[in-house]
Amino acid sequence: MATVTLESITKTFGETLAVDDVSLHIEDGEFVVLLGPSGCGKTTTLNMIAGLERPTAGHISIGGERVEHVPPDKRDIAMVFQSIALYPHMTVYQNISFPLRMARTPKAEIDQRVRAAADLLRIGELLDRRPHQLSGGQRQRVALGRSVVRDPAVFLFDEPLSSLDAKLRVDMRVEVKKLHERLGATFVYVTHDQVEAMTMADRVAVMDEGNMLQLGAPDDIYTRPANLMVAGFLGNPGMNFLSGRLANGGSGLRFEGSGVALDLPAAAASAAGSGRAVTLGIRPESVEVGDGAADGATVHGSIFATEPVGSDLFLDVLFGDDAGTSDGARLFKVRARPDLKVRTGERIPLCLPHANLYLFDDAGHRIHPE
Amino acid sequence: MTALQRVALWRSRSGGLTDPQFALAIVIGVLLFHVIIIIVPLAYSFWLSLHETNVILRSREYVGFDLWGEALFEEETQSATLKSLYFAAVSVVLSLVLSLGMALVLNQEFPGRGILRALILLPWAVSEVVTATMWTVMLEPSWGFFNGALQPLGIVGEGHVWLNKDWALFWLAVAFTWHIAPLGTFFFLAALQTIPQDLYNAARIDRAGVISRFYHVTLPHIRYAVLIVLVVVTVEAFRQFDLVFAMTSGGPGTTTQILPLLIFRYNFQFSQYGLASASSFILIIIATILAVAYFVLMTRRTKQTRVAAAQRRAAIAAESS
Repeated sequence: MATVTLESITKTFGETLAVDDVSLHIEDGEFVVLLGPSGCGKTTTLNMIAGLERPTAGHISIGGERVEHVPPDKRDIAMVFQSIALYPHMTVYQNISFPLRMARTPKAEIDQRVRAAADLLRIGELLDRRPHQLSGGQRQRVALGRSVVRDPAVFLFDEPLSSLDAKLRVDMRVEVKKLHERLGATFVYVTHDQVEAMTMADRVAVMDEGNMLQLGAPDDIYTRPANLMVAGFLGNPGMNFLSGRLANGGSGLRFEGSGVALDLPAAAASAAGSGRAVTLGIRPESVEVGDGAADGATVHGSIFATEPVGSDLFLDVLFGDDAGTSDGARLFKVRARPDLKVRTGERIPLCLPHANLYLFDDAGHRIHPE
Repeated sequence: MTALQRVALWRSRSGGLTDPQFALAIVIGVLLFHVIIIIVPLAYSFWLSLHETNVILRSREYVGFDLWGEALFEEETQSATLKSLYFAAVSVVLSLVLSLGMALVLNQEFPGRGILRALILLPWAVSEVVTATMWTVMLEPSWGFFNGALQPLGIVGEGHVWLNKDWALFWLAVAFTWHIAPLGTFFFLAALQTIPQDLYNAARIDRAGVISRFYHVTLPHIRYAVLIVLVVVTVEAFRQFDLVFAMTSGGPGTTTQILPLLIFRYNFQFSQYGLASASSFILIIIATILAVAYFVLMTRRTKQTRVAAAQRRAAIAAESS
């Protein structure tokens, strides 16, 4: 069991800055997900924790001990790779026992620990098989087994589920989460899949272009994204953005642009002044069809397309001139009830509840809600 | 376009032939070519091996397998066969070590790697005769490179003869290795590049040292390349003629007279066409045994893969049900 601390770590590959001054303290037994698009530096960060890469600057500690110059095999870590990386010529038993054999653990103990790990991951009957005789899910379990058997203080995962098909991924997600509960070890998990991050993590670190944009509980970063990038990355479909300007209107501050004009909540006035260029954001699931709610702004748009997915109906709504002559015209996603009857081209009223509106300044930082 | 129309269009493109007809037409072409350049000479050679030819009397007499017996039990042929085996064994061991060593180095990242990879293939591109000339010059006792470099250091005496009766065959194998090793390097390099970096990373985290990583990750991935290099170098060494002929012509005495050289002498110096042909078949048989061994190893592998693929399909089916 151990904490993991990154202090201002930076990594450059030649001219390229892969990780830029990232600091992160991971508690003992915590499940932290590094989330971001490909090339954001999350895997490089993980590799530095593992010792496969050496940071250009900064310090890394595991369990309170500085480890920048400690090779991977002496860090008390285990790692599961995106490519799964089982030794192809070894049986499942030999694969799982490999780290113990390398550490010259006594045979009887190896056997007992391999079988315990295999039972835990329900691969007991596969011990004599070779990796190429296994399905994707089974291979993934074996890879987990190989890390579990070492009983390490820290588990590192590099997109372990990305090579699995969608259904299996959902099953394995639960399995990894259960594994964390049972073992109580520190988990650092890298993924570009925001659903994995949201469902498994105690805390999520969102990364982009080598920087850590936000660190927080999944719920926190979902409801209070620090900036446009985080807001757009989380949620499926992503948050709707409308660019425009703030203006003084009849009852207070107004937003104008992208083919809409709407009143903003009074609270937003304190954060931003008139005339400022801003981006308005709202999640598809927060928008209501109709002009009902009192505490919200109503806008009108025409339906460009409908996407029924069974449980929900997603509407693509076009504001402004739908011929596209108005430069602000753009698509806006709305989640509606599946039984809603609408036609393409129909003009509908939408209510944007004040409580769910976000405002970002021109640098992308959230200015409302505070 | 309907499926039928597409089929019709495709057929008209292939000259109105059905798939099996088209396949047959292609195969027959290749087969014919092979018959002309391989089977016919082989059959003629076999026919020759059953006949004693006398060039002076201009006679040809059927003697059955007598010449085969002569080729097998004649001391001269046996000794040449042993020399061929020694030459092949030294070449195989040296080139395996050298090829793998060079491939491991060239698989590392360093500046100028691309140029070096191209350069290293040069010895293989150079013909055997040129290789022989170069090594003859380097090994020349009075002004060669070897003596020039080693004499001042006191490693060899003045005018050391490298191609002496005890060591000439060994140095021929060294020259041949210099020529053939780059080919092996490329086989190994290709195999090394298929090894995923993640496996090395996993092995490092699993506490495997450099030697363990080579043994548990590298070696299993390149063992088929090892097999191919073994077979190619062995066969090439067994049929090597140019290099030996150009460097020593079998000398000093007959100490480097390997089987292909002896066959050459039987045929072109003594005009014993029958004996030369019979001896050639000994070479062919040795080469065939090696080729068969190679195929046996490969097919055994394919069978394993088929069984494994079936098991894997079953596992996936069970998982998705």
